[in-house]
Amino acid sequence: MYAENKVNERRKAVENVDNCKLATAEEIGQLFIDNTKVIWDHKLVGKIYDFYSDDIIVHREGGSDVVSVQNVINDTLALQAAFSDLKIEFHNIFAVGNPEEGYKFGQAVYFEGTNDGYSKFGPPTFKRLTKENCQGMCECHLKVVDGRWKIVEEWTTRSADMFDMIMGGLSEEAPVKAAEPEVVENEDQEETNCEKND
Amino acid sequence: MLSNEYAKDIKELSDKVENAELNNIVEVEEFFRAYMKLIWDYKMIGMIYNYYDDNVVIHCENGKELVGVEAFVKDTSALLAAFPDAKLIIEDVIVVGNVDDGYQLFSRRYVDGTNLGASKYGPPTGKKLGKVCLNLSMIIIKKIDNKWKIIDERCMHSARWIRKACTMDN
Repeated sequence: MYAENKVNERRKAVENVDNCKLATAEEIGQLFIDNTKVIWDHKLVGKIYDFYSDDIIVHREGGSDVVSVQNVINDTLALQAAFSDLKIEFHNIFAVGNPEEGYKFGQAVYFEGTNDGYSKFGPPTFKRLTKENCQGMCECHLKVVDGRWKIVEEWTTRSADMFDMIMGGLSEEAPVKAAEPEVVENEDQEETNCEKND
Repeated sequence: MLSNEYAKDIKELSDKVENAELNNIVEVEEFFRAYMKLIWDYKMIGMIYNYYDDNVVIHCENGKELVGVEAFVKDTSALLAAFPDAKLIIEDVIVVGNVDDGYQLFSRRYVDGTNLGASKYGPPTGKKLGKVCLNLSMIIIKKIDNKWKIIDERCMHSARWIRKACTMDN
């Protein structure tokens, strides 16, 4: 029943992705929420080929860019193997553009999952990424290439230190204790609003 | 004389920012570019108080959160002290919304600068950030008591890259 439910949920998301006409900027947000779910939650990694162009450049912090669709796939596989229960939850996504000139969108997400598989840093640590410690953001540019909508360029940042620490690649004794949320609150204000989003 | 040029630019940008009406998305982008240049390039840190709400929450990477405008001012001051020649290169701005409901703005930037001042990581290293310090931000701007205020921000600063620039090599 569990697997059947997962397949049914996945089929609905795939249908949404495959049937999206990308006619308006408003459709882009839901399209990429569904597309992200299909690739990450449902592990249909090959669906990356649908929207990523052959020569995609994914710009990352520190110049550690990922170039070409095959390297995007390799990177995705590695992360899914290290975090088998990884989920990407959306905080927000919005787009501008039109069918003639293309679209661009920005998104803010959270990564949640357990390091229960081997990573580039070694054996699993079983530590967890959470909504509180692992934010990610990106901007993507979409254009029609050879008659198909493609992400032609992307700029993305994840909470790199947190990922490294959770996978055992960064000591908790490092100059920044990335595991401990750093909350700097007002000292002089009488009331502070510490309500966290969502 | 360079200082005169800077003073003139600061005055023009300040006038634009102080009198921003944000009637449409074009005005919002122009405002945002001017505002960021004032704070980052010209170190007009106190301008943060103009538009960031008292109770703003800035959600950063690795679980860091800045709660309240004073926390944000303090954090910005620390970063600019560590990189006093910092420049914010805004490559792209995406704005949606309207004057009645408020706006959401996403920006893609790079921070360039040299670690010339002390930071929480230690004494200055002299290392440069280079044009690889990717900085992404998503903000919500709404009218509060008839004044435009930034009430929420999600921001990724390339914290790991900044940490490496501020840390001496072993």
